[in-house]
Amino acid sequence: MATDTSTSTESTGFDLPPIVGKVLSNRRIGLGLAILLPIALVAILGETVAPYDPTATHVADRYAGPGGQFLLGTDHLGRDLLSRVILGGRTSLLLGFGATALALLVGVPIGLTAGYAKGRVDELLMRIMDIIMSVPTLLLGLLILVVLPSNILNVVMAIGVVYAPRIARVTRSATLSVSEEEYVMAAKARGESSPYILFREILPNVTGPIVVEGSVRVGYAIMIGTSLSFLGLGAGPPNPDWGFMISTARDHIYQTPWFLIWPSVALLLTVMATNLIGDGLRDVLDPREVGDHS
Amino acid sequence: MPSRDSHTTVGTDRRSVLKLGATLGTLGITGLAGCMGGGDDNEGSGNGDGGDTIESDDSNDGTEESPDSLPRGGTFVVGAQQGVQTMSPFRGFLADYLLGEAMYDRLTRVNQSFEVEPNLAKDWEANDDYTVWTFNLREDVAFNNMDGQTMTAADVKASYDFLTSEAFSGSASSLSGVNSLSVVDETTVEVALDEPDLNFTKRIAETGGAFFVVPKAVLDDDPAKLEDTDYGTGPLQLETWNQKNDITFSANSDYHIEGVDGEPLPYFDELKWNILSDNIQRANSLSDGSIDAVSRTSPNVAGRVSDSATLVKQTSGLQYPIVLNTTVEPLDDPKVRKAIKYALDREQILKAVSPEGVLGHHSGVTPVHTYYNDDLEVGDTFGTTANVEKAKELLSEAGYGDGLEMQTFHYDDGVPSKEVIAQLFQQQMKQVGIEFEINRLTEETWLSDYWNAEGEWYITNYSTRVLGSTVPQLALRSEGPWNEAKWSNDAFDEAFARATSATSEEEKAEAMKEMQRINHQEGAWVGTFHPKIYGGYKDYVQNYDLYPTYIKDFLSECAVDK
Repeated sequence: MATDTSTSTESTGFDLPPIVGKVLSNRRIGLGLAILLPIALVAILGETVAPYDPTATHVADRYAGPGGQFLLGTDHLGRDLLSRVILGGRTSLLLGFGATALALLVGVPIGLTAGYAKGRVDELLMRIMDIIMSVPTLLLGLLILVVLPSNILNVVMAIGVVYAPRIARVTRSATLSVSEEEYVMAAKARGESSPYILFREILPNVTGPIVVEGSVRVGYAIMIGTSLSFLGLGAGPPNPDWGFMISTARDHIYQTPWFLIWPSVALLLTVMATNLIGDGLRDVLDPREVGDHS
Repeated sequence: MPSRDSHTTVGTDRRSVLKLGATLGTLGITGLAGCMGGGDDNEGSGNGDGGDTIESDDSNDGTEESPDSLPRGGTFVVGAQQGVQTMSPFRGFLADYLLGEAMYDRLTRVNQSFEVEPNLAKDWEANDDYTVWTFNLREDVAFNNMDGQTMTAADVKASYDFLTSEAFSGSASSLSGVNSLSVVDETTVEVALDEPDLNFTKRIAETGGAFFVVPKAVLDDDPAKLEDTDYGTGPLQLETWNQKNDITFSANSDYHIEGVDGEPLPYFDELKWNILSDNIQRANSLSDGSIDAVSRTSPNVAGRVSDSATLVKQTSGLQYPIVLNTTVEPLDDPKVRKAIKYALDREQILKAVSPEGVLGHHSGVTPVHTYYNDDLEVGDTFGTTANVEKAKELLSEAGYGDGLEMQTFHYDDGVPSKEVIAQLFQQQMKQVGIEFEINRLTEETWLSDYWNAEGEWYITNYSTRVLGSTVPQLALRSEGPWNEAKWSNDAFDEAFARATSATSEEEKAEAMKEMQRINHQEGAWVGTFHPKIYGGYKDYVQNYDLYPTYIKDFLSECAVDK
């Protein structure tokens, strides 16, 4: 497609100071951060702020309601729900951001290569990505975790693999539109290597759509990670994990609803916050101006 | 709605048997429910099984009494936890056994009081030392899907040969100790045992590792035909099989065992086995009337069940011992094993998993068993709560005064209680400096890769069956094929040998109790608890009850009057 060189460069570029200003002034992003940052802070501080060891059992106090010795109550083994929700947040955020980071690490180079090389390389890489994407997300995650031991790192890896093709496709699309730009031609003329052109010339100019896609993926990654944990393929007990807490709590719903409510609320807020941030970034960076999204 | 709470014991030798999944027997979660009463009016009588009784102190409404009459007809819909992967009566998991018993028969059977009664054999006799048993077969029993072909001694012999052949990959534990089975004539077979067995007729009434009789022609043609077709002689005949949703059976109108009204069992026309894997879903289905009874449920939904149906409870013979493999460090050190027993807080585990259950010994014989050693206190030597100081002292003597880091502790997802036990066990051991990670496995992975393997420690699970001595026989004596802990104790083996060869109940009881004492004090099993099991039924269902055994079913003796 034909585009005005200067316009395209400006719109797809990541002109830091103005972008930062736009990001900070976006209300969706602000609200998302206002929700997410406290959750993340508490999760990072973890044991420091948790009132109890999240794995310590107090069987005599099981099914305790909110208030009293245990602020949010206890689960079926008398474990403090507040402490488990706090530490469970660490697991969920690690899943969300870790898996997205992995997806970016894998997907961006593939997308850059496909979009820049075009031809058979593009066809081969994108058809492989299409094959992976043709398998339902949760099913693919399940398949990977059936083969690998279910621990937090493997869950991160599974979700990262699942989302890498989506990142690759967005990256390729953006790359296609900038790979014919004059500054890329100039780099080629200077005899620069392909890796240099990909990562120094093209990548900085396709960062916008990648950031937007990545931010959206964080929320999805948390959801799929929680779903896998719900199905028993997460970190595994006794580690606190929202998905597994919700799964276990179902069996005890008639004893105490709080066991189910707190991790569900925490999950809801976290995913809502990441989605708000993702939507806000999309507004600010407006990837539609990047051009071809075929 | 009312609730009933039973504390039934299983009588006489009652070799309890391990039910251990796929090729080893079933593996399960809670108990079983079924229907009682009815019975039959066959005159055949067994001998050598004296004293086989259920002692029940049920404080219930009396529905466990045999009724004078029961309604006939209708469809009985059971909410089942599991479906089946095969219709073969010889292998599989819990549901396979329950349904296998509905479709197939053995030479003998037990009634709801766990007394031996005739089945395919109309009567029998044993020689003086109980090593040779002669069974006279019924002549009027026809196989399903075999064009009216009747069962003969040749079918019994063929079934025995199949179950004891190398080609058979499952467990035929009820035939353990059988030396040979020979055909005397078309309606008579003779079984020779390796050693005396007072309770042989009860052993072959077992459902797990069962000696079901199938047509010789099918075995000769292709035993795989049993996988999807019902060739049984049982009270129910397979109609439709949807692996994911439901299984439907129709009544065998010519069944040879009669109900209280003198007509063939079952009382209902049709049984629907609706597969509802989720506890809450089963409770809700019972509540809305889409099922008539739920054969397994958990204490967590007991309140939901009792809102709209009769809740039944039964003290079970299920047990979930922690197996300490004695061939690996540091579990090869008896002091470490004893330290673990001292560090265990069994009361805490019981309260968390099954507050209405009971504690037993670390012996492998459960309190529902007649030979349970009442002389041995539950808290003998090790107590029922943690003795941290004593545990640390023993660990220090064993050279682990500064703490002990163990290999990963495994449990499987086939029994939800195991996850709770594992987490509490981890916390309790931490108090005495024993640290380890816990790891959940799928039931299939545990059975194939970890169960009875070298160098592992994990939670296993056993159920009491009709007979009682099979756990010691298979899993506790030195030469036992399922000796998971690789534990060897000469005194225990000697007591086992005495129990096995005993020709009087007194002698057998004494030896069985001695075995329990030795295993409790010296063994490599860490006992946890015996759960209460729960079920429920609508008020129009009659003769429904729970039993302490796990895979014994009396569904064909239920009646519905909708």
